[in-house]
Amino acid sequence: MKQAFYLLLFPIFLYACSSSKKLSYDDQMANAPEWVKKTPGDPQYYHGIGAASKSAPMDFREKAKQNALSDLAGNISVHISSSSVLSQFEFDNKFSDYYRDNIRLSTKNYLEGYEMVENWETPDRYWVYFRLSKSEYERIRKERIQTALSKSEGDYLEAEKSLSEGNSAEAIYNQIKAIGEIIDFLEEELQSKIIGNGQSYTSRLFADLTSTLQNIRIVFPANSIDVKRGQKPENGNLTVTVQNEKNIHLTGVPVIIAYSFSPGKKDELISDANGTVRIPTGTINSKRKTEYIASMVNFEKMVREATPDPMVRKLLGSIKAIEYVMPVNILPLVFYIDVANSHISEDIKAILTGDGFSIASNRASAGLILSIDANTTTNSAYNGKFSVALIADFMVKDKNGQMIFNQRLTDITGIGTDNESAVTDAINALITRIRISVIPAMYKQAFQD
Amino acid sequence: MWNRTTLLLFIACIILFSGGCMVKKTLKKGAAYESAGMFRDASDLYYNTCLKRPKSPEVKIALKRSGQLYIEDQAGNIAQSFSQGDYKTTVYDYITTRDFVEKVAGAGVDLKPDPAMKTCFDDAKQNYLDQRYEAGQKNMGEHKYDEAKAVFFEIFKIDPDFRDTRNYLKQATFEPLYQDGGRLYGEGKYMEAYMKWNSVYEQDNNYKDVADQMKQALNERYKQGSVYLMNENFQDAATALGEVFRADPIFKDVKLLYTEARNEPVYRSGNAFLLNGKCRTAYYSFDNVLKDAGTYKDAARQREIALACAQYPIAVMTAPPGRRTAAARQFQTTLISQLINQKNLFLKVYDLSAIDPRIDQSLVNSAGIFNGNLLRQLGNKQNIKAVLYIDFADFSRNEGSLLTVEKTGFERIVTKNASGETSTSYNKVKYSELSKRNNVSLTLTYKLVSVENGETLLSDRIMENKTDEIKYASYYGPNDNLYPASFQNGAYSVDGGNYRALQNLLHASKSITSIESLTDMTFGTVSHNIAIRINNFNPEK
Repeated sequence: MKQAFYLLLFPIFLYACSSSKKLSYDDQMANAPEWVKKTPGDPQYYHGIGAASKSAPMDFREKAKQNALSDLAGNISVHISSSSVLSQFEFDNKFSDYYRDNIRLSTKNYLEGYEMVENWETPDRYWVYFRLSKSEYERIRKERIQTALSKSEGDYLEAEKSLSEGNSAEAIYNQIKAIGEIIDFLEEELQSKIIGNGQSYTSRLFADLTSTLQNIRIVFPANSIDVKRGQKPENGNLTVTVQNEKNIHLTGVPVIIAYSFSPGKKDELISDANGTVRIPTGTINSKRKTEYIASMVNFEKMVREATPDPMVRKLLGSIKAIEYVMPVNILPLVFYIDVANSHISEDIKAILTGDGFSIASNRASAGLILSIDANTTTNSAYNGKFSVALIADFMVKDKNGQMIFNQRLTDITGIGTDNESAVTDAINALITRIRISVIPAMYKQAFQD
Repeated sequence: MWNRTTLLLFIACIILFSGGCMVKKTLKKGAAYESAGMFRDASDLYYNTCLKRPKSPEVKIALKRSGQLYIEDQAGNIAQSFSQGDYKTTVYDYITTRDFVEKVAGAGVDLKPDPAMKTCFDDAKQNYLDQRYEAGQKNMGEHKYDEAKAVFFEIFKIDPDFRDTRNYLKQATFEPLYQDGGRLYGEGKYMEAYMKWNSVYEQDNNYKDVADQMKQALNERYKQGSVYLMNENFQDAATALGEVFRADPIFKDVKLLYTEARNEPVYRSGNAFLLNGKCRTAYYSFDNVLKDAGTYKDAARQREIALACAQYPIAVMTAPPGRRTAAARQFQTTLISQLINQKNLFLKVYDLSAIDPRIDQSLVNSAGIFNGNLLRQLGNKQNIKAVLYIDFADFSRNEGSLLTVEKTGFERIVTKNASGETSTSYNKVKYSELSKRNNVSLTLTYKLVSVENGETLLSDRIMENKTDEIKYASYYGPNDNLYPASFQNGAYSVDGGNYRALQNLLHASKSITSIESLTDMTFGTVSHNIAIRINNFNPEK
């Protein structure tokens, strides 16, 4: 019985441990050609060695080829000339590294004229060796630069034409495109006949784009405006004019508006046929005395629309449009406090002035009248303690007598060692109630706070 | 059938075999995923198997291959979404990829992510978080705190130090609670307001003036409780002051007032009970006050007065003296002991024959009628409040004799002959069956009679019967070999069916509860029942 069992176990063991015996890695590599072990050193060529596992699901030959071309492209150095635009302009410090990495990656896509030298394989793996003549690479690269330059010059001329026609927005779009065409060659010092020899074409493009952008001005209707707290500017909207340095009104310029009194709120608008933009400020509610409305050309949007190339977008991200700011003077609302009890009156004044409101000394000069009618009734006495109950009506009216806000306050209690101290305690409780819940409710209702 | 080593070997083989199967199955399924371009699914499959079979090189290699392909796919997606300005996708795809690479590294497989992914992520993150930050600010400005909180929490997860995110997240979380507190305060719901503010305070005790607001809320509730107390609305006062006390036990004199609100009504009722002669109830009221407050006004002195006033001395008398047997006296002793054991503060127990033998002799006539004059005398002279009278109606003790019956049985004998074979034979023998029965029976009536007016305050009739009996068998020979016999057609034969019953009798107990013990038990049970009823008797009810 036992013997039969062991006989049964044996094939199971064999099956479970049946990872077939293979040649070791060293055995397999013993016959590998030299280029598999070490990259060839012929200085006339760029070399690329690629390998792929045969168990890879995709075509392993294609995979090995792609790896070899990546290797080859990686060996082509990107030299940034000291007179190139990358060195001349004050770009983000990281941009040169970013540029270098991206150029290496894109170089692979433009590789031409390479040749497969040899391939070699083991049962598991496949190697391939490609090379590209350095002189051939340089010839092809010069052709690419020439093609790019010629397209860029076309865009440049279009931009010049738009500028002469007073169409700054169109000019900017073309200037961005002109830069985009030559983005792969920023490390070179490119020359163009259309701007005259001796000048860097790339630098000229950047200078012109910056100049066009910064010549666009956003003109507010006044140096500053006055707005009452909790209200909109007169006429509801503000209209600004978008114009160039010659005061020509510009159409189709995207602008972005930000409001210091509404953090996070931004309006993206476009100048109309008259070169104007209507700014919807909404209600301005701020405790501060001065706020501002800021406006600038939405250059980021223009770049986004002009090119999908992330490298161009990143490069132009460092160019900033000028921000135009108009101060907004918040006119404080003036309250008149109509409260007989001086303790209540003074405390409410302190709360309101702390929240940015003004207090008038007479009813006539106030915009809002705040009144409180309070009555106390003696409640009970016990063990040497006295209690009073207080009921108050809190009202805010405008100067025409129209009720803005009112609230009846009940359940206010005061306790003290005598009736007088109980009343004082009740008044303190009333003031606390007003501070904690009534004033916030009043702001919410009256000023949409 | 199989020894231990064989079994372990078999189990090892099964494990080895199933392990090998698992790897093969995973590789096959993973290859199917890979050929369909589903590298993430393939990677997850390999990863899970890798955790179970960390030493399997095939699975690790497969994980490295499919994982690398997956992150290369992701790199393509990230570059594409970035170039399209879809920064959100770029950010989340990168985070997914980064987490994946870290997870796989945990299984011992290092992948090589494309560095361009990180560059795209850094740029996209800045753009995306800028947008989200502005959206969060806008929500804050519009008081949409939940939305703002969600936005800032999203930013926080991506980059906790992004601009003022921490502060905004705090504001978005706390501001609605803070404002709710203000609203509830305005509605006079002070403790609800306190709880809202406290939930803020527990997370950030410096948030605005939340600490001060909490004090204000407690103060208002304290004042409500105080006014209730002043108006002698003790229940509402206790509720209000209790809430304040639990929130802050050292708030002003809340502890004192809360104690007063809880105990004053009880103290007052104690005094009222005392005035109405309900001294025992008064005692309990004052006792409850003192247990709760430790000291309260003159509650301790009032409790002493109530206790003195609530004393209830009773005289115990068993059977009319003419029928007072030794057993009746024994019962009375047991009963008095049980009454004392109740440790009733108010009860004082006396043996009537001991404190006034004259009255004891004449208090109850032969017909069981109480003499009213003697009862009153007992009250006046001895300060007795009631007489507990026990009438032994019937008491019997029967100690049985040991009865013996001779029985016929068979002893089983086993013999072995010279060749080693065994044979069984049965010899007819005699054995004895013995039995005895002891019994105690008591019937009594008792009543508690007021000395003031002869009123029966409590009465009952109790019957108690206690019996013990034994039955066993005795045999001179080996008990285990003894079988009972059955008699049929003039002859005895082995009764194998009743063997177990006979064995039980042979091993049965031979001891019996003595008649004295049965008497003690009977008296104990009956007197305990009477003592419980007397203890529970409240003369004030």
